[in-house]
Amino acid sequence: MELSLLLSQLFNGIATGMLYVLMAMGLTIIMGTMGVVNFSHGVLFAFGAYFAYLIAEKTGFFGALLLAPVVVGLIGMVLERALVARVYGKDPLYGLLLTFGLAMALEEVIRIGWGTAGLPFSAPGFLSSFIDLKIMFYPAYRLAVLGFILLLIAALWFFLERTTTGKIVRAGIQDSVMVGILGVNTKALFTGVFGLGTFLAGLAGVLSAPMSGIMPTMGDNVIMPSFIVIILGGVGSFWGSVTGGLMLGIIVSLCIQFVPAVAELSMYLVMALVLLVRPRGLFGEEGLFE
Amino acid sequence: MKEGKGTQVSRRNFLKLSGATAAGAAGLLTGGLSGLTAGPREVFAKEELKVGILDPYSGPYADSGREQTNGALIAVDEFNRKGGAAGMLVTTFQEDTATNPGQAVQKGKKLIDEVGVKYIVGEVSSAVGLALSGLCQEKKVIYMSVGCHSDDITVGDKAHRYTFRPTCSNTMLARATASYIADKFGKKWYFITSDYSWGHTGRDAFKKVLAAKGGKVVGEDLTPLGTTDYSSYLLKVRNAKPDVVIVSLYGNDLVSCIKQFNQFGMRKEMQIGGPLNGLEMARVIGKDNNCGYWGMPWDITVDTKGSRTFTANYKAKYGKLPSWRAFLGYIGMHQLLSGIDRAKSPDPKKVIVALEGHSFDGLKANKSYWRDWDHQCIQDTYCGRAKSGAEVKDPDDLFEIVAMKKGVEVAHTRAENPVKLEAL
Repeated sequence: MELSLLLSQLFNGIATGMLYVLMAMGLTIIMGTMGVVNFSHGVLFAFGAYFAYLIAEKTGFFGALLLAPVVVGLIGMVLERALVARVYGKDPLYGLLLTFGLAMALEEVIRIGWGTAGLPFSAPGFLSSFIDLKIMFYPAYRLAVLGFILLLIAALWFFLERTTTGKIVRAGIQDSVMVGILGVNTKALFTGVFGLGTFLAGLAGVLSAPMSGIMPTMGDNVIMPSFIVIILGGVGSFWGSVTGGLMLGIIVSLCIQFVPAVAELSMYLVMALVLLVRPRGLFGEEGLFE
Repeated sequence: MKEGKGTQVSRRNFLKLSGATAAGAAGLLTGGLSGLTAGPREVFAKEELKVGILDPYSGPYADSGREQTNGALIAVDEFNRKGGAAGMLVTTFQEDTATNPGQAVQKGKKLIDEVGVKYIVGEVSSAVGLALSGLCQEKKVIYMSVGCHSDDITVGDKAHRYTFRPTCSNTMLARATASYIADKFGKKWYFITSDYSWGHTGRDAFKKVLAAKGGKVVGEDLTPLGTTDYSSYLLKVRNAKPDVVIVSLYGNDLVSCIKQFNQFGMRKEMQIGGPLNGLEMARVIGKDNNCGYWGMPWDITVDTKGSRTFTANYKAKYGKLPSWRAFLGYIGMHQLLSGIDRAKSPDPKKVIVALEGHSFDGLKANKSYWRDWDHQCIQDTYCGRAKSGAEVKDPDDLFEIVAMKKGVEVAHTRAENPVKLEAL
C-alpha cells in the first residue's frame, strides 16, 4: 500500500464530502428552524443542475453558477409559502409526506420539461485540466469546487455569527417560538430560511453537474447521504454539518480503497454507531431527537 | 402509465373501438359508404391482439426503456397497417417497471390476469428480465426479453421455454469485443462491475476471453447500481496501472464513470471498454468525453436495406435516430407478431413452435435465427469504437463499428450451455 494512494483517497474523500456539506447545511437550517424534514431537497438539487444547463447556454458556466441557485432558492420560497408553511407545528409526519410527495411530483416535472434522458454538461474549458498535487494529478474542476465551497462555508459562518439577520436565524434554530414572541416576523424568517436552504441545494446541484452529469434521478443519490451527514453532525449545527460531510466523504473513500464490500454500507454503519453513543449527533443540541 | 394509454389508435382501431356498436346496427346499411377505407366487414372480422410492453420509464434505465418501447411501436404500426397479425389488430398495454423486479412482476401479473395479455415484450435490466421470465413461464405467457443481456436469460437453469431473447448475450458481446481489445491494447485489465446479474456475467465473459489469451486481472471492484461518483474507484484503477479498464456499467452509471474517467485524465494512460454502450448514453457523455471500445447489438451504421428502412421509419415517427435499444424493441415485437402470423393463431404454444428454429432478416448482413434449444437469437455481433472530438460530424455520429462476428462464432455452444427448456 503506497502512502500516496492513501493520501489521494483521503483528499478525494474530503473533496467529495464537501458537496454533502453543502446539501446538509441547507437541510439542517430548515430542519432546525421549522422542524420540517425536507425530502424535496434532492430534487431541488437536480433543479439546480437543470437550470444551470438552461442558463449556461446563454451566459456560460459562471452565469449559471450565479443565477441557477437563486432561481432554485426562489422556487423554494414559493413552495414554502404555498405548501410547506401549512404543516408548521403539526406532526412531523405531515411535513415528511408533503415534501416526499413534492419530490416525486417535481421529478416528474423534470421528465416532462427536459425528458428522461440525461443532458451533457461540462466544466468550463480552463478547469478541465489537471493539477499536480505531488501525490496525484487531480482534476482542476474538483479542486475549484473544493475551494469554492470552503469560501462559501466561511461566508455562511460570517453571516450566521456576525450579522443581525444571521443571529435571528440562529436564534430561530434554537427556539423559533421565543423569537416570534420577541417581535421578529417569523413568517418572513421561515420563508427566508427555506429559500437559503434550497439555494444551497441548487448550488450543490450546479457544482455537481459537470462531475456526474445531469439526470432526473440525480437528487435520489445525494439525499440519503445528506440526511446521514446531519444525523452524524447533529441537527441545526453548523460545524456538525461540516464535520459530518467530511467524515462521510473520507469514510466512503477509504472503504472503497480497503474494504470495498462495505463501501455502500459504511455510511449507515457509522450513522448507527453515532446514534447509539450520541443520539443528538456529534454537535447536536439536546431536544430535537432526544 | 394508465392501461391502454400507449395504444396505437390507428384509423382502423378507432373505427373498431368507437364504431363497433354503432357499426353493428348501421354497418350493413352503410356498407357502401365510400369514406371508410376499412370496410364494415373488416370491422366485424378484426379481433384485438393484446400485447403487454414492460419497460423502465423511470429510474436509471428510463431512457433505454423509452427507446425500446418506441422501437416496438414501429413494428406494431407496420403490422397494423397491413391488417394486424394473424388477422387481429395489435393493441399494446404499456407499464413502467422502474427497473424494479418486484414492481415488474406486479405489473406483469396485472397485465396477464386483469388485461388478459398472452405476450409480454420488453425490459432493459436482466435482474428484472429474469423475474419476468420466471413469471411468464409460470403463467404460460410468451416473454420477449428485449434488452436483457445477462447470460442467465438463455443459459442454464434460469432459461425458460416461454422466454425468447432477441438481443445478444453478454458472452456474445464479450467474445466480439474482448478479443479485439486484448489484441489491440494489451492484456492487463482492471474490472469495474455493476453489482447485479448483468454486470457479473459481463465481467465473467470478458475474464474468460482474457484468460484464454493469457492475460491478467490486475484488480476489480463491484459498484452498486445508481453510483454517481466513481472518483475513489478510478484512483484505485489508476494506481493499478492496467492496459485497459473493463467497465460493466450501463445507463447513468456508465455516463458518470466515463465522464469522470475523462476528468481524471485517465484516457491518456489507458484504454476503456466493456460489454455495452450506445447512442442514448453517448449523447449524454458528450462528444468530447466519448471514448472506448464497446459491445453493440446494432448501430445506425449497419448498412443493410432493412436497417436503412427501419432507421428512416424511426426518424419519421420520432424525429431522431434510433439507438440499438430501439432496434431491439423493433426486432422483439416484430418477431413476436410475425410468429403469431405464421402460427395463424394467438395460442402461445403454437407461436413458440413457429418461432423455434425460424430464420429471418434481422436487419444485419447475415441472417438471424432463433435457436430452438435455448431460445437465443443468433445474430451478427459488433464491437464499436466511440468517436470523439472533431471526428464527430453530427450529434448522432458517435460510434463506428470496428469488428463484427457471426452469431455462431460467439454464442455459447451446446456443450457450454447446459440448458434444458421445459416441455410445452
